[in-house]
Amino acid sequence: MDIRKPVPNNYGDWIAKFGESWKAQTAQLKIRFADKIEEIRMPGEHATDVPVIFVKKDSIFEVLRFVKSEPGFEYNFLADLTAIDEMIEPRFEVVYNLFSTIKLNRFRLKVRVRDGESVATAVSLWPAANWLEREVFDMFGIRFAGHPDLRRILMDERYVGHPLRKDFPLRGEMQIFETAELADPKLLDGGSAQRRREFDSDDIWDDARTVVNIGPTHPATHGAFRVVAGLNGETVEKSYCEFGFTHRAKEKMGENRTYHQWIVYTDRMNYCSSALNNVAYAMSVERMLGIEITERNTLIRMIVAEMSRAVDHLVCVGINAVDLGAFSFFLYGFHQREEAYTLLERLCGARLTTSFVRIGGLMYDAPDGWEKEVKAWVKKTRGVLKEMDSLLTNNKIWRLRTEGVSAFTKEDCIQYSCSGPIARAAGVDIDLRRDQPCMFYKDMEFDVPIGKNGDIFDRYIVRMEEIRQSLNIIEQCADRMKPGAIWVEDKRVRIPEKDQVHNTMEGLIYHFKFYMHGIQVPPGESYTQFEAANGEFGFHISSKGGARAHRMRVRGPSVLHYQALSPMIEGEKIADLVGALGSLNIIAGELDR
Amino acid sequence: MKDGSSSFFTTKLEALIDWGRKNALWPFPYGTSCCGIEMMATLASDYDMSRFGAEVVRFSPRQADLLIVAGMVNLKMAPILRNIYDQMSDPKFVISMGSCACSGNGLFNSYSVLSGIDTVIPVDIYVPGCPPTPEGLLNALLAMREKVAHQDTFAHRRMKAAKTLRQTV
Ligand code: SF4
Repeated sequence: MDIRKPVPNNYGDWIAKFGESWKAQTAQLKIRFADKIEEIRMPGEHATDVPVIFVKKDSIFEVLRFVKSEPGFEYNFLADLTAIDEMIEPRFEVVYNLFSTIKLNRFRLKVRVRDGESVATAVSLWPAANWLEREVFDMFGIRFAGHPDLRRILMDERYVGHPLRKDFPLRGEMQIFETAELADPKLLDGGSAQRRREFDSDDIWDDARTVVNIGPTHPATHGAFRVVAGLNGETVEKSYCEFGFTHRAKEKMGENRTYHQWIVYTDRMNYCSSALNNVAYAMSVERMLGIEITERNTLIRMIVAEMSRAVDHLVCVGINAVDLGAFSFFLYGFHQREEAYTLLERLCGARLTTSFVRIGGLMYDAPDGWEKEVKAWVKKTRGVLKEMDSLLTNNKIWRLRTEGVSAFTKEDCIQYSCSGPIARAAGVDIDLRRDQPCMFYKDMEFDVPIGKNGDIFDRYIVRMEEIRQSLNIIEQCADRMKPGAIWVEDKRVRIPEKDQVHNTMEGLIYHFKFYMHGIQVPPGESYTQFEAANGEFGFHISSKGGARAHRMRVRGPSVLHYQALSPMIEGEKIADLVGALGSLNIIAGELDR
Repeated sequence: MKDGSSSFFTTKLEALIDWGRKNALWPFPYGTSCCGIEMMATLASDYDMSRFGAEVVRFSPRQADLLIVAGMVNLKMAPILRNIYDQMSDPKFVISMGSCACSGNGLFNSYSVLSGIDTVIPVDIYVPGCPPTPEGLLNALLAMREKVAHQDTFAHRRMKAAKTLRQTV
């Protein structure tokens, strides 16, 4: 593989925007850490979307600390931490994908690690790194020195092997356990390095300590995960979370399926808004291939994405309300969701798992008059939102249960890598649709709602407002829609029409090639992210050429939000845990992948 | 009955009880992933499962008699599923909703996914689809009612076998 060979890609606009500052930053790093940097790969010269700095293993913590706080860098947001098995010596690369919420700039640091070696943990810089490092340990067996709690996270504690290593077969060895072994509540006694709040002094049960176990199957979790809370009276003193009960090996699948075959797996991540995942995934691969999709395709994708976002938020706020006792509110939203699903069904024949986007195109064109139906839906949804608003927003019980509960400050959100509505409710003014525009988002008029307190109520308000803004975007897209092509005429990705397949030899050959060999993606690496319903949803694809990814990493926002639950509910009443969990909108498919 | 046995009466009584069971299935929604969302849609007002008597959703296995496994079950989850099934009191019925629960779907060939929940618990009705439409689940519920009425479920067979065993011993 020649990583220096120029390949077509869509990194140009980032290079134009950040190229200068990247150059300045790498130059500064080179001076400051001269002997500690092994290699620098710049976008434009190498097939990568942002600069990649290979740091010597022993200095990674130092460099991370430097780029986090040094003026001129300020990469204060750990977007993702993962690893890649390179199958050469040194075997692994630990990858830190960084983002600056101040400069809206991205950066990547890497460390090369041999099998059996350990890397310094980044937990003291970003608490968000905690679970991400645990996942790397679980999947690759890389140890992190100084990590407070290095246990397996997705697989069972007794599992043998590290599944994402390249020499681990996809099927692995079926290790079925007779009994469930859940993490021991004794963990609570060990104490966690999390902050403490003032406890309620009126609590009559003060000093009566109990342990409450919620999940893995519990109505409040809406999925399979578990929270164990140590209570002092009714106040949560400490808690820990456990997940992995729906881990389905999607990342491993991504390395064993062709880029097209893997589309169906993206549906099943955030399954409340599958189409959003499809769009984000197609965008990532297209970015690596350097494909610009057609206008009609873009508009349909945007409509579908925004519709999914609206549906996701409707379900989230609805369920949040059900958990706190407001059932009829949920039914209003759910009906609107059914109507949206009917529209999706018209488009692609499926309700929930759409699998509707293709790389460079779409499965089908929208049927005639579809945009009119969409507009009618938008209009109706606006009315329903008004009704929902009057039902709940000023309801006294709802306000008392949500205002000021499980608040998370702006700084906490950044430290814990929270994104999307949860971060915005706390005042982090970041929306990737506006700040990193893709598709036609820069031409759209929409507001980004920002909250103040970061409590459940603000999250609710932000979500409700986001639905309205999504409806605005849908309307603008529907107005702009004109008949036209939905496929790019690019031989690398164009799947021939069915009549060509049946009637021409060339069509048949191409069809066969696509379905048997898959599309060929040039060598390179990129981390593409999209503002999904829950926050930054990203695909880190590392390709060595060919039809399958070398590493397919999915950055689901739910993992990091779920991690933030423990510090969030510390000092709250146990009954509010349910409300906090609902407001985080943890989706098990995205959490476990 | 002349010989003093009460078999005529008991069969009728059992039929009556099964009639009651069939019309009042209490589901335990075991939704792990995507299929759980469609199950929720089936329970919500648009499809409204309560039209068929399965209205009282119980989140405690001890109070439910119909286990709807909606979604994928992996190695970590399998013992928990078994545990829940064991906690339900007889007669208990199982609907396996979605390809994942039925066979492992496209994911079965991986290191963590169980190839179908029938490797851990007996299943009465399989609903294919990824996810099955709410209509599919409603259809399964209707079929379940038929099965209960005809005493054609695993639970009934198990109870019958236990009875025969008791009589022969
Ligand atoms: S059958 Fe499909 S929809 Fe259902 S849980 Fe499996 S992947 Fe999700």
